[in-house]
Amino acid sequence: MSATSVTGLAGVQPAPPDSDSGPDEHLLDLTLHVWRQAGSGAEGEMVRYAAPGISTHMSFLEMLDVVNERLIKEGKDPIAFDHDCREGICGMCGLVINGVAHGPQAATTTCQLHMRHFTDGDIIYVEPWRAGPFPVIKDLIVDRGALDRIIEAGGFITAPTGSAAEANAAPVAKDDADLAFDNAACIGCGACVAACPNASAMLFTAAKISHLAALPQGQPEREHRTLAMVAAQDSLGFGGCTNIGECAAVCPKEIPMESIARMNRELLRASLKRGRSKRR
Amino acid sequence: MTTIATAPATPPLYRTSIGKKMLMAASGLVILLWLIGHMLGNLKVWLNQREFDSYAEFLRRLGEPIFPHTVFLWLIRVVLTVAFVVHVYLAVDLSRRNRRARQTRYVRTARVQADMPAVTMRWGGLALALFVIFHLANFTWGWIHPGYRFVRGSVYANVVGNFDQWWLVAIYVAAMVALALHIYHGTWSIFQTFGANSRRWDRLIRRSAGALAIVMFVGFVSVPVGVLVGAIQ
Repeated sequence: MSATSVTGLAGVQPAPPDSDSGPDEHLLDLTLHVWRQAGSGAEGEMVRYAAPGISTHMSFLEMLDVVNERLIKEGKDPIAFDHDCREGICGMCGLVINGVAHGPQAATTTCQLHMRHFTDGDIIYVEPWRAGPFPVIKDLIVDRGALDRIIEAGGFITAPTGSAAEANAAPVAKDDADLAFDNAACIGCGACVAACPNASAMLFTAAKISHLAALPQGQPEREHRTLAMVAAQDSLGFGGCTNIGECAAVCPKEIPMESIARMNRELLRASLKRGRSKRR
Repeated sequence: MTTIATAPATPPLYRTSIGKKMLMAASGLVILLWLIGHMLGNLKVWLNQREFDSYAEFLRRLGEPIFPHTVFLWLIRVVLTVAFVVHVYLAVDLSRRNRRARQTRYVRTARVQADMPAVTMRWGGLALALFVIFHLANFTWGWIHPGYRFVRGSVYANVVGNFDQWWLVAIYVAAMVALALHIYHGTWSIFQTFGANSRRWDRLIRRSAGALAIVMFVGFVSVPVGVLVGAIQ
């Protein structure tokens, strides 16, 4: 947090503070309204917590850690929330903060959201992802296994086992590589589902389909993948797309609405091709 | 040898949520194309009574001599009714799926970027459906004709008689606001749903949809407003 706490080798200067750890630390007195639910079948409710003395340098999850330490000291049940890498790349964390998935800062996971985006005296509502296919396990933790079911339906490529193939044997055009990578950036956090008024998983599924359809390795299963993943997301109970765009707006990896258009195109293509092969 | 995952049965396109959206987009497009023709035809009221009444009579003769009198008009009506039924049926079907997907609602909700036309599609669509019935009762069936005598075939006189009343003009203008919003989001959505959208074209498609919505609004609204201010009499 402060420069004096950095002890490095003699002559090695501590890294200059970046915008994430500026010198102007403030303490915030916040009020939280947090969804508390004992278990998957239990009734839940919003519970109010006072959270005084929160450093603006803390991430949102560190703020919850502090609140939880205080709860534990008081002998109370800490707030359960999902997290893992805390560097914005794993997709485990995810909270709806004041009605916005991952909170007020665009292109940012909850763990990378810092408390300096809040002001003293703020009232913050913290809720879990809400979707039929995402049942609450406890408090703010939901079961996002439904996204795994969509992947299992077709979000993979068939690759021979054994030694890795020569990397340059399958040339990929730069534009295709960029397109695939932009979509592969999806970390499966489920914010798109949480933000969608229809709890639709279209942006997630679209990112996976777009990623693999752009690459030569994805071609053998291209049509089946699209048909199967779309069927899976429908049967899991996710809603449909109404082209509102809230998903792309909250996506921490900025997967665009364009990907959903591409998935629709892929589905049309796969359906036409299937129709042709049936007649043969 | 590489083996490829065997395909389990997947539903046909029209059974998937995306396929249903494509049917919504296609039926919406049919209605939209018809509406463009309807709007352009309405503008004939600005010429004079004879031109407008003869245009209305021409619609009954449309397709002659290949089709007998009014048959082609009835074909258009059937296609339009089918499109309308498909559009409304799927709107209800998809909305029910969407509601089922989120039964526990958020305590706090906020919109990040969704615009007003996008979030008013359902209620705006319902309002338009009710308006269509009112509009038919008004000018086609002649059930509602407050303050004037409805004469079948005298379309010019019916229009002028109807829009001499400010409150009927108000209903029509309000409905056309709903229509413009619906057309804006709907037209853009046709491209998105059929996969014809991309980051490169998105802005152009949005602006074109907006321009179309404005042109349709101005074209339709010019008639009742023109009558009310005395420009058409």
